[in-house]
Amino acid sequence: MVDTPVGDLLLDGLWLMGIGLGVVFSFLLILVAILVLMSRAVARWGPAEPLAQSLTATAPVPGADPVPGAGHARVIAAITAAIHAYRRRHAA
Amino acid sequence: MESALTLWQSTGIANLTWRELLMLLVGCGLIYLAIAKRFEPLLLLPIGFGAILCNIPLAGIGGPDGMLGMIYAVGIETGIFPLLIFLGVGALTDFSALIARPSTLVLGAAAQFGIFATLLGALALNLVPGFDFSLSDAAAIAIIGGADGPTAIFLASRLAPDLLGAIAVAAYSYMALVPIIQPPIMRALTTKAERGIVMEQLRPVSRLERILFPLMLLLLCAMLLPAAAPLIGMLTLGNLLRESGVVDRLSRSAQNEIINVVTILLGLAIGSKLSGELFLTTQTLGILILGAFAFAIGTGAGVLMGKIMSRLTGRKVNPLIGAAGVSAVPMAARVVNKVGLEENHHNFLLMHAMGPNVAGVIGSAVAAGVLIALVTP
Repeated sequence: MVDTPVGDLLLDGLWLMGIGLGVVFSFLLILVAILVLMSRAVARWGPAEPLAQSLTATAPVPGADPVPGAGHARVIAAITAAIHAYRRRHAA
Repeated sequence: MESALTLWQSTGIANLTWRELLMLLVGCGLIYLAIAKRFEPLLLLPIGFGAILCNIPLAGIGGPDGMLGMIYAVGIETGIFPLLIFLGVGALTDFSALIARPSTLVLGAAAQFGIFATLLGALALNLVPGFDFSLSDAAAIAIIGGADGPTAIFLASRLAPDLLGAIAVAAYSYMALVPIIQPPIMRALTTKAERGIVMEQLRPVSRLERILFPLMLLLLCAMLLPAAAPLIGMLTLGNLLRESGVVDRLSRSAQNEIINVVTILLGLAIGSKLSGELFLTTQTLGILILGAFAFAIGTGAGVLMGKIMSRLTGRKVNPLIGAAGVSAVPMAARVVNKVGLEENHHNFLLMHAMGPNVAGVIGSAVAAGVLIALVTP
């Protein structure tokens, strides 16, 4: 095995390493910046509803009512009515 | 008499070469590891079976006209299977930890150092007689350091199809060995106090952020590194299916049916590359050694970057989570959690390690994109 071609290859490899790591780092650093900006923008202008939902609901139901507030109110109303009906029947 | 001889010559025993016999044993070994040791059974079992099928004498199952050969031509030569796996990975992955703490992306970048260090290692191995790795071979071997099976297969099918079998087996074997390879390196590079650092809880991430994330990532990839677009594109599509919440059926298919079907076919097709002539070479031995090297360096680089981040943030970051920067989702994060618990029984690092872990997936896909863009086979 001649030494020079391997030396050339190693130089190519070093070059590739420099460029490659540079690109990977700059790509991910730009992504960091974009994510920070995105989170700030969402916090400022985004709807307040999804955050509240993720805090309160431990397991969001897929395909649930698109307006969770209204849906919850209706569900609560239904449950309350059922409890009332049950108590009235059993108290009598 | 004549026909008896013909019959004898059509049996497997009469035609079995030592290479085929050895590869049949390798296939059985992989199946043993999958079933008895539970090493990445989802892949090693079909790979092992594929290895057995393609080494059956005379059957030619792995040849260009055989079943496995055709599956290989359709799914792996074209790069479709690893991309479909990425679709499923995207649909299975929750990027919330990363969105909540974007700085962990740096850890995912640092762990990719293993890839490029291995590239040099593979090229340096040319000094040893018997090895002859070209630049594209070295690049394909190096991606093992990304600890990401589908990325490794995608890149190897592009740059070094001859080495694909060895590279895939090395990548998946070492991913299975993450719990054994990583902890000693993590302990060696950190102090007891550093391992005990408790990190504050991650903030909740809104649905809108989770929907915007894949779109932002894809946009960045499209602008800066279109060579990585197939990998990043499928990953982000899968994630958008998951997070949009309106295509539940598609998301479930990507998470289950699609990824499962493709895993079987992918495993069999990789196994078909484990034929004696291609696998039993000194190069394979070199690839296996380089793969372990790649993993160790990547883990070390991640932990060291974790230490730097820990210093810069005033000990708010536990350097152990840097080790999760090699992808291997979610195994590497679990290992971090386990090593953290050894120091402090109440310190659960799993969610914190998921950030660098999924960052590693993005990082290795970006590194693969760079290698595809710069190295031509």
